[in-house]
Amino acid sequence: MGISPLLFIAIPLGAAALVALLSRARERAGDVVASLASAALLALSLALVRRILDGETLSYDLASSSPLGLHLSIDGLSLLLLSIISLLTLMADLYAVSYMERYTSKPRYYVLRLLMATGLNGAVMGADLLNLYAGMEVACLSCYALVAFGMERDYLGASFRYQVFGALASLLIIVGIALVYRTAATLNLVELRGVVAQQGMSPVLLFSSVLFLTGFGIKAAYMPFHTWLPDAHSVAPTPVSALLSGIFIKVAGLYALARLFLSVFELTATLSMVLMVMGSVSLLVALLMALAQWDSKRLLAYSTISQMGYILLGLSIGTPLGILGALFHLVNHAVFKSLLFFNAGAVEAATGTRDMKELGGLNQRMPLTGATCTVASLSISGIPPFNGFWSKLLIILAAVQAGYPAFAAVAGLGSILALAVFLKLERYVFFGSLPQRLARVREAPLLMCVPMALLAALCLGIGLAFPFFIHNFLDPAKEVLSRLTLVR
Amino acid sequence: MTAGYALCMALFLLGLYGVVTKRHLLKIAFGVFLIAGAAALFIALLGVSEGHVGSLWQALGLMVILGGLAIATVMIVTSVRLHQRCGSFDLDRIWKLRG
Repeated sequence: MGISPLLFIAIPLGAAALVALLSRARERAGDVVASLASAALLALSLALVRRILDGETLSYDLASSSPLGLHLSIDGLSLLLLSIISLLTLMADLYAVSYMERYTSKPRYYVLRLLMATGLNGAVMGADLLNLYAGMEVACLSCYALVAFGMERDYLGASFRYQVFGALASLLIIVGIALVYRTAATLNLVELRGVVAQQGMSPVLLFSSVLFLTGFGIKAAYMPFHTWLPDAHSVAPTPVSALLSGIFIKVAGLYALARLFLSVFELTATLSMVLMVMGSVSLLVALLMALAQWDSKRLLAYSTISQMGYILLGLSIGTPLGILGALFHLVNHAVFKSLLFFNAGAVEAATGTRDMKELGGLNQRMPLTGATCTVASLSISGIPPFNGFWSKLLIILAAVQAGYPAFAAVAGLGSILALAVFLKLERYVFFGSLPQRLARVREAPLLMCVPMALLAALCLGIGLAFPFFIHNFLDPAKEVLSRLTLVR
Repeated sequence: MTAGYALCMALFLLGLYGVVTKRHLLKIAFGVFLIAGAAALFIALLGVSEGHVGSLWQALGLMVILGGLAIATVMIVTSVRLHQRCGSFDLDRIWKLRG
């Protein structure tokens, strides 16, 4: 069975063109085409699991002699991210069928959404830095447009802010790439690893790693580079928020950081400490800021920054257990954070507000949204047996094992604060008394409920069957990153 | 060559100054364009310093120029749309959003 990595780019790109063409004749074509494309990609990535487990790496080279050659490869880490991208885009597409009705020109949403998936898939499969960068740029450009999709002041303002930060980050990264190429004469990630292992980290490479840290740090919204995120993620249309928080910042920022600093450059003790501090600060400070929010989606956006802190903390510990915990948390966060955004969007769609002070008692009127939100809240706060518990546990254990009890304590404290944040969300939105104004609120439409129920089932399913999940998806991805991590 | 790098640095600092201090949308956008110009010039200089400019350098240069063009378009469109909505290019006046 031949599955070419090129399919992961060709399918969403073709689907985007198809939606654009068909939308003139049939307004609803986008609903079907986009969901089918995501489902096909999900099926393809699941079909590859066995082959990757057997240690195979799929690669594809197009026109390797021309300057803009396309070098793609799928290893364990790429496959893990490809699967999550496809899963979340499928859920977001189902959700968008009814949710995006409120916006004009729904087909354009699908075109941009598919282009974003094209870019993300291209970035995670990029076998060299240039391909990674190009994929990320495509995804970012469609993201700017998606954040501004509502075309009102809030949307445009948030998008503009995001554009300024995103553009600066991209420029820092491309200058870093140029410096790497000047020193190492290659951009291929595998060859680059060889060069770095042979020559060590020269001052120029160190400088470019600072550029990468800042550039990708902005894209991943680590403190102190986070200021664009709460606006962009809270005003964007809900399926976009879910994708942005769930997968976009992880691929555009964190994935590149992990690839570069764990498997290409050497993770020196200093660098590891810098990353751990960056992660812990994001983790704690963002939670305190989340606690102060009254806009439900804004609260979730701040909580995203803190959860990204967990992932960075786990990765930068650098031990196999830490990397495993971080990757596990990456998957889990993608699942429960998109679910939480779907919940907040369903509540907004039903009541017309995101202000938690005006809500309350919605469990009576929206039982499914309430129940799935409870599952997601328990998950994100790390309550067993939900999936968030295991990944946080792994990260804390890894920190203790590597001799960083202080960071383990920070991670534990973060879990307690997260519980406080989500108790607030639950208390003010779903429990308490139902205001008179909301007495006639109805449950979200079926197509919005289906993705919420599926994601909630996944929260519980991954939590219960975590050994199976770790073996099939996470171990191959961990292998990729821990092949060349530091020996303590 | 040194003059080229100095120009690069000057462009970058000027652009950064614009992005950080200005409150006018188009001026901020212009600051970003200056930084993009600095990055393109820097990559060109690095490529030239190698002697013969290989194909990957051309690709890198092309990438930064195209990326700059794309972001310039998006930023200008967003600014003009914001002006249509709020009647102002002033970020402070537009930003009556939450901080």
